[in-house]
Amino acid sequence: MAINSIFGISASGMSVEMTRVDVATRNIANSHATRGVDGKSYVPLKVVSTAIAAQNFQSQLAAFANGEIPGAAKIQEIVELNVAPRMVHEPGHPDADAQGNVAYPNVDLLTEMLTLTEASRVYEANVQAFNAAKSMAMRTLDIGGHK
Amino acid sequence: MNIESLGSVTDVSPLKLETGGGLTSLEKSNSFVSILNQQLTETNSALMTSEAHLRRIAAGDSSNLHQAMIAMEEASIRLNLVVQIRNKLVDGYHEVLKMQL
Amino acid sequence: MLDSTGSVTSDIVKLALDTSVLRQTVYASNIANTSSAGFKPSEVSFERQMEMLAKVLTTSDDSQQASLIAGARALFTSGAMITPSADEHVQLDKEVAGVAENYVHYQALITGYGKYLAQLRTAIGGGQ
Repeated sequence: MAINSIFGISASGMSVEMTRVDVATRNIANSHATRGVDGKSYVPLKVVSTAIAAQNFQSQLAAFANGEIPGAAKIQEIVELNVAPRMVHEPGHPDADAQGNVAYPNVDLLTEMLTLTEASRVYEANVQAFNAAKSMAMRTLDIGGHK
Repeated sequence: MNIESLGSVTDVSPLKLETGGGLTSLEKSNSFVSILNQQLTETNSALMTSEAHLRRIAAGDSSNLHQAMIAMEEASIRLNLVVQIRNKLVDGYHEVLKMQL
Repeated sequence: MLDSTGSVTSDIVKLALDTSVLRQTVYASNIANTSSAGFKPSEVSFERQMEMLAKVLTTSDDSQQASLIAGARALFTSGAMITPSADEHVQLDKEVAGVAENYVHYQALITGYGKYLAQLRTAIGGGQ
């Protein structure tokens, strides 16, 4: 069993959850951004992660070819949510349209907070799995024990 | 005093101590070698038990870990004891051999 | 396949250690993919481990043990030890608890095997 596949899987999980936290934080920070670089209001993003298929964890030949570890997680894509912006009537706002409505990003704060909480939990669990693997590997060096 | 030759430790030949006055000869059932043999048998069965415990853990049964660890350590200690006794006996035998009579 | 003592104990322990490492890998994968779309968790159960080694342990005939352990090793290599979990989604607390249990099991094996090797060393070396 290759060393990097033992740790790499947990590391991938940590990496995915960090990205999830980043995106959720960005959504929350931009929940009132009515004008972005392209002139349009911010569209909330979502992280879609997927598993790297593991036929049989022992056969690492195929997946290792492109640097992917069987059983690990990876980001498939970061998509824009298909939600319409929240329209709020604010005639004095610089970004108000002809009717005096401003298009605010439809960021559901509750969902984003839940995502943050869940991502931290999963991140923690990944750390625990990583630590267990590390301790197991260190303990292996003790075979044959004390005299 | 009559000391018969000490063969290999697993021999059943009794070690008898006889003197002209006072000390009585030990019965065969109490002889040092028969006690040692008994210890060897018990040590052997302790080692077998120890190996069986290890195999059981390997099979995935962790329900009696504490018992297994204790049993294994006991077997190791017993084995060490028997081996040390054997070493002392052999040393003693060599000492006797070196005596100028 | 018989080790220097004439028994298959070393092979059994090695297979158990490999299974424990595989189990950790599966737990790690389940945890890493907690939020992966459509992911179904797997497991390497202790029952399965018992099944794999049952024949080797219950056969007292030494001549058969060598071929039985080879059979168990082949079963392991084929990936048959990994089975789908009963859960539809990853249950994080269950996975983390499993990681801890597996770690203890691994430690017990290493420690026990160390004692076993020490016994062999004493028997061979005469305590010198």
